[in-house]
Order: sequence, then C-alpha cells, then structure tokens
Amino acid sequence: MIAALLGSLVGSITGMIPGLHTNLVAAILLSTMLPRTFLVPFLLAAAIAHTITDAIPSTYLGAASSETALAVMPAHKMLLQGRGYEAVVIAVRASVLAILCTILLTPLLAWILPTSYAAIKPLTWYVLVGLTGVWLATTGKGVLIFLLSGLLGLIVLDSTAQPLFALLTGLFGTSTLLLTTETSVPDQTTALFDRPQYRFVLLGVLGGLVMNLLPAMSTSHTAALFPFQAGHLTLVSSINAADQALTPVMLAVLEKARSGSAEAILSLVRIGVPHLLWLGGVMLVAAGVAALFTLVTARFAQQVLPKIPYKRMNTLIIVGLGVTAFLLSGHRGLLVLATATALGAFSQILRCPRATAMGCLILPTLVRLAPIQS
Amino acid sequence: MENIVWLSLGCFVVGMLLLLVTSPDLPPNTISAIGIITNVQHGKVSKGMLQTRIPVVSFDKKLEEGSGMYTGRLQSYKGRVEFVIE
Repeated sequence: MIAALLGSLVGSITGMIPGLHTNLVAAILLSTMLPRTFLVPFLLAAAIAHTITDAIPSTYLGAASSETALAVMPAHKMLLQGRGYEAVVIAVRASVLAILCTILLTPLLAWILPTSYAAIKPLTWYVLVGLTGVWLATTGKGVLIFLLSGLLGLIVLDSTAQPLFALLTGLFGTSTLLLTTETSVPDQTTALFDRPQYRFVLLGVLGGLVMNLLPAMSTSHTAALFPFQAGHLTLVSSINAADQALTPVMLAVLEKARSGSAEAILSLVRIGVPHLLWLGGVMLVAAGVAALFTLVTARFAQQVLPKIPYKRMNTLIIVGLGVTAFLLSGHRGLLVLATATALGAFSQILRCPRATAMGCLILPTLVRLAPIQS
Repeated sequence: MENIVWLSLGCFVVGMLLLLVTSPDLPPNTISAIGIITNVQHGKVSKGMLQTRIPVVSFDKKLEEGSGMYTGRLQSYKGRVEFVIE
C-alpha cells in the first residue's frame, strides 16, 4: 500500500516534468536491492500516475510525448480560450474512466487475449497499412505532411538519442507556440462547458487494446487512425491510460511488455491471473491520487497563468523545451527540434490535419514491420 | 465539487480496500539451473560459464567453479542471453 502511494506520488511528479519518464525511474530502481513486493506496485502506480498528470505540461507548456502529441493542440487551444482547466478535467476524466473500464474488462480480456493475439500477429503489417491508407485518403494535402514527417522520423529515430521528445515537441508543441498570435493568456475559468464524451473513452480503451496487440504503435499513432475531428483530447487521454492499465493483464496472459516499467516488472516477477485484482487496486489508488494531484495543480496554474505576460512565457517555454531537447539528445536534439518545428508550422500554414504529422512514427513503424524484411 | 473529484476519491478508496483485502504473493520471475561453473573471471562483475554454455553473471556474489544449483533469471544483454544469479 505504501509502495502504491509512493509510486503514485513519484509518477505524478515525473508526469509534470517534460522529458522525464517513469522508464528512467524503473531503470534506477531495478539497480537497487528493494524487494519485488515493493517495486512491482511502485512501478505500476508510477506509470499510471504519470499518464494522468502529463495533462498538465501538454496543456500549459505545449510539451509533447508519443503519448500526448495529439492532445497538445486541442488542450493548448482551450487554454487560449480561457478553458485550460476544462482541458485538464477532460483529460483526467477520460484517463480515470479508461482505467476503470480496462479494470472491469480485465476478466474478459484474460480469456480472449491469448487466442486473438495469436490470430492477429501474422496480419499486423497488413492491418496497419490498410488503416493508415484509409485514413490518409481523407486528409488531402495531409499526405505531403505525412510523407515529410515520415521521412524525418526515418532519419532521426535510429540515429538520435531519445529522439521522441525533440521530434514530437517540434511537430506539435513549439510550432504551435511560435505561430500563436495571442499576447496574453485570457482569464481562466473553472466552468465546464463540454459534456463528457463517454463513447470516445470506450474507443480509447479499444485503441489501447489495439496498441497493445500491434507492436511499435504509440498512443498518438493509434489515435491518428481514428478519423474524428472532435473528442481528440478524450480519445488520446483514454488510449494512453488504457494502454498503461492493460499492463498487468498483458503481463499475466501474454508475458508481453510495452514499456520500460512493464519490462522491469516482467524481469522481477511472474504475474499470474490471481494477481490481477491486487494490481487493479494499485492502479485505482494511483488513478485517484494522480487525478486529485492534477486537478489541484491545474487550479493553481489557472490562477497564476493570466498574471504572466504570455509572449514572454511562450519564449521561456520554447527556450525550456530547447534546453530539455539538448539535455536529452545533445546538439542533434536541437537540430531535430528545429526541423520538426518548421515542418509543424508548415502543416499549420497548409491547414492540414495535425495528426498527419504522426507520419514521423507511423511510416518508420510500417517500414520496420514490412514482411519483406523478415 | 466536480464529479471527477468524487470519481477520483472513489477510485482511491476502492483501490485501498482492494489492497487491504488482497495479498501480493508474487513469485520471482526466476529459473533454476544445475551444472558446473567453469572459466571464472573476477572483476567488477563475477563471470563464469555453466555447462550449458550460457554466460553466468553475479553482481553480489563471487562465483566459484564447481557443481551447484543456482537460482536466477535469464536476461538479454548486448544481444546475448545471460543467466543472472540472484
């Protein structure tokens, strides 16, 4: 119980800091002599909490990760309408509901996953190509952005240390911040205008499942395959949360790990179906703690933000994101950030669907999984 | 107070109750190997070979050549499988 609470706290903090991931925490903790009964709930709680609190940097700072890239735009847009708190509430609500849905679906998943995974595995590449082709056909000029960002992804993903932060922050974060013409953040309200979009939460859980079954898929990659204009914030947040909440059942049934935290858990213990109830408890505690932590932080941020000169704050954020990219990936990170920012700005000028810039992950994934290589 | 606050508090309380009523009897993800350790090298990490020709690594114990039963886990390191003694 203490491990779950501590993990929730640590995950809440890492989620708030752009560029910091629970995989790093997992790598550090694995080198310690802490008992596995402490490490397993700690790592799971940290991963769950991280997915919830990362709504704060994506809304207020425009910092993107593979999990939140497509949520940055709508969340930041809402911030500039004075609805930053609502954006955070939508993301948190979607995440918590997706975690609850996933926990409730766990017995069914434990039953059907082994057979469905075996059936889907040989078809993975064809399914991905088909879904991507159908989606691209609806995006017009977006195909150009898809190909250019895909080319950028092919060049940088294997040749740059920790490339995702610079790549996705450039495409979705700094490019948005640079083209913003507002000179101040409007007064923020805590009123909630949009009704909860439950169907997108269910789609998000489905997306999380698809993502777990298809290798090398990221949250934004999966979300990009759902061609909806509205509800993206709910969809991305719920896919992200469902992906993490599926970790225990994936480990128990398929012994399949998608993240560094899951790899760490898999290396420590053999998770079985009887452990799923206990791990469900860990995830619920983490979801509760992180959601409250995020809401309190958002309340604080919305009081402080309107008092800060927006242009100066934007400049500081862009510099901060640049420094983070440099610390994570060195000089090459800055180059990737600049190139991705230019491409992200270009896609905004062309008024293409922003999701097409996810070609930076989708195209390399398709190339990597192409059956011609295997 | 928004519904999300109640939902979060509900999650927290139910989660704590689940943690109270369930116990984590987690088996280690380890395997056992029986064999003779040969070619021991002592350095920062103590290394040797089992008869299976799988490299054996121990971070906190000095390996001794000879027959024995060892508990640990298999892990991938630089593209090779290693047996890490725990």
